[in-house]
Amino acid sequence: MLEVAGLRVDIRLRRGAVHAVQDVSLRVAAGETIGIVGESGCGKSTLGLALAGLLPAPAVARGSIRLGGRELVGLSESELRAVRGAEVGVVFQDPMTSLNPTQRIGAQVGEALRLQRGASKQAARDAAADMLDLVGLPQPREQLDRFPHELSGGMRQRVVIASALICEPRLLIADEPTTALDVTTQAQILDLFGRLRQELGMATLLITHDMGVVAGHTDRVFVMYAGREAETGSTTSVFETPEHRYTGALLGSILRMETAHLAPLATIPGRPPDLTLELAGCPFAPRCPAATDRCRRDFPAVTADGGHQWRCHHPLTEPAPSSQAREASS
Amino acid sequence: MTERAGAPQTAEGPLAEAPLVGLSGVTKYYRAGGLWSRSVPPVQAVAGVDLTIPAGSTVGIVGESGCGKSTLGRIVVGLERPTGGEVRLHGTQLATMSRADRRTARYEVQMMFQDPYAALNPRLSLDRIISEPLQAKGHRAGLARSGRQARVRQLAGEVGLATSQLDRYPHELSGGQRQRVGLARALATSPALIVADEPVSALDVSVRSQILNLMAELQREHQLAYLMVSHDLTVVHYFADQVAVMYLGTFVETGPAEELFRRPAHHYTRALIDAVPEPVAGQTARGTAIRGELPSASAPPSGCRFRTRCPAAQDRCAEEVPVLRSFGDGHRAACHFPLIEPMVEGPAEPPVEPGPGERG
Repeated sequence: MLEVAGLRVDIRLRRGAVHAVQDVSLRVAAGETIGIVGESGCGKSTLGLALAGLLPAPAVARGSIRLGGRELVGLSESELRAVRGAEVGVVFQDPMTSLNPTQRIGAQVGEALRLQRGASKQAARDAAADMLDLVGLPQPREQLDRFPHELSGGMRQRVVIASALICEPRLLIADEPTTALDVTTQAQILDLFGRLRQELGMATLLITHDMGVVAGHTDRVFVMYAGREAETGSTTSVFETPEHRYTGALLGSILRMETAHLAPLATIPGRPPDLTLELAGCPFAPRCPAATDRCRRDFPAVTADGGHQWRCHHPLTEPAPSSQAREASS
Repeated sequence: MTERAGAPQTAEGPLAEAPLVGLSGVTKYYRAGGLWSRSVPPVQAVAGVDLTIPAGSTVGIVGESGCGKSTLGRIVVGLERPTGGEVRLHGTQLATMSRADRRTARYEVQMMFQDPYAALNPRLSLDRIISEPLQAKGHRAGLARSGRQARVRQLAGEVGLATSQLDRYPHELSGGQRQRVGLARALATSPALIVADEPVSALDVSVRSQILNLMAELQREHQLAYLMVSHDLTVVHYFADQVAVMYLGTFVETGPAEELFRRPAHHYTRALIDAVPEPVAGQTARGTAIRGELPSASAPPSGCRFRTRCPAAQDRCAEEVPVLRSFGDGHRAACHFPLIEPMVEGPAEPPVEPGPGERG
C-alpha cells in the first residue's frame, strides 16, 4: 500500500544541509498501524512530513515514496495537494494549528470533500456531521456551526481527525496526536484510532516519542535514530526481544508504574549527533556502552530475522563485546 | 497530608512542629471580565483545598488539565493570591506578614516550569539567568559580585552544567540542559521548596530520567521539598511521597503515593491509573476509557463533582457533597461509594466486621 525506498530528506540551511532522513525504507500494508519512534530530532516528524507531501521549501526529498503504486516524490505542489486531501490524512500534535480559528467546524471538516470530490455544500455538511459522529463528538449536528475555540483540546483533536478522514484516505499520518492531551483523553483518542482502522481499513503511521502509546496501539514499530532506521519489526518482537542497543536503551529508560520509588533511573548519556555532519560508522556509537572500533568505522548493514530487522554490530541477543574490544582505540 | 478545614491539628496525632507549607480552605475564583461579568458565575479554579507540605519530601498533585493543579502551584509559590483560605509558611500566615518578611519568604519557595525555553529570558546568558534571583533586592547572597559568581559556578556544578557553558544563551541548549538551567535558577536562593509544574513533560524519555535523577539527588543533598504538579501518573508515582488527586478544583483523594496508587478508593483515581499506557506490546490501557470530559469549572455538578463521568454514580451523588473520609494511614477519599472499605470514624461508633457482609 505504502512503499518507501531509499528515502533521503536534506534540509538546506545557511550553515549547511541537515541530513534529516537518510536511506529509509519501509512498507505499510492496508489496515496496518506502524509506530515511528525516536527522540526529538531523530527525523521522525520530517519523515511524516515527507510522506504527507508537506515538506517545507528548503527540504528536498530523494528516493521513492509509492502510495497505492503511485510515485509521490517529484510531484508538483498542486498534485501533492490532491493526493493529500484524497488519499492521505494528516493529524498533528496541536489541533489549534491545524484548525482555522475563524471558520466554523462544519465547513472545515467538509472542506476536503468539496475541494476533492466537488461535493455540494449540503452534502459536505451532512458528511461532516456523520464523520463528527464517527469520531465521537456529542451532538454532531450542533457542533457544525461552532468555532474551534469553543471546544476542549480533546474535542478539537477529534475535529482534526474527522477532517483528515472525511475523504476516507488510504493512509493516516498522525504525528504525536495525543501528546498535548490528558491521559484520559489520550486513551479515548487511541481507542478511536483503533476503531476507525477497523471500520475504514486505512493504514496508519503513528509518530510518537511515547513507547507506551506505541506498545498498545501498533502492529509494527520503526525505531529511528539520527535520521536512519535502527530497528523495525512487529511490536511484540521489538518490545520483547529488542536487538539494537538504542532500542534497548530507549525501553530501559521508560518510567513505568512499577518503577520503585526514587530508584536510580537508567539514562542514555550524551546527545544525538549533529545531522549536518556526514557520519562514519553507527550514529549511536558515541552513546553506546557496547561500541567497538567496528561501530565507529562501519555503518551497520541490515540483519534480518523474518520481519524483524536491525542495524547493529552488537545486538542485544548476542554477548556484549569484551571491555578490551570496546576500549581498543577510545 | 491533608486535614479537613477546621479540624483540630491534634486529630492526626501529637502537635508537631509547623510544617514547611500549610494550606487550609484555599480557594481561587476567576471572574470573567467585561460587561457581563456579574451574570457569569466565576470559574472555581481551586474550590477549597487543605494541603501540608513537610520539609524534605515530595507532594504530587495529579489531575487533568483544567482541574486547578497549576493554579494551586502558583498560589503556593506566591504568583497568585488565593481568593479565600490561608497559606502558611513555617506556620505563619503569608497574608499577615510584613512586606519584608514576605519577600524573604519568597526566597524559600521557588518555581520550575514545564517549558524551560519559555521560562528563560532568551537575551540573557546562562550566568545572568542563574544569578538574577541573587541580585534581587534584599537577598543575603546578593551583596558582592564575586560572591555571586562563585555561587553561580557552584549551582552550575550541582545541576551538571559545565562552567564553560555559562556564557551561552538558552537557544544554544538542548531541552534537558535548559531544564538544568531552570533548576539552577530555582536553587539560587537556597529554597526549602520548589514547585515543579510538569518538570519533565516536554522532555524525551532518556533526558527525563536524567532530570528526575538530578532532582532526587538535589532533594537528598539539600533536604529540599517539591510540590510536583503533573498529569503524568508514572512520574508522580515514582517521585512523590504523598499524592493528591485533584478534580474540578477539589481534592478527591489524598494519601501516601504507594498506597493510593495500589489501592485507590476513588473511581476517578482508578480511571486515571487505568488510562496510563503501559509500555508492554499489545497492551492497551486497562479497563474502559473514562467517559466524557471535564465539566465547566464555573458550573460544577451538584453533589460529587465527578458524578457526571463516574461509572458508579447514584442519586445520592447528585444530592450530597462527599467529604474526605479516612481509608487508613493518611489515605483519604471523598466518595459515597468507594472502591475499598473506609475506616470507621470516631470512637463512638461500634466496630463493624471487616469487609461487607455479602452473605448476610
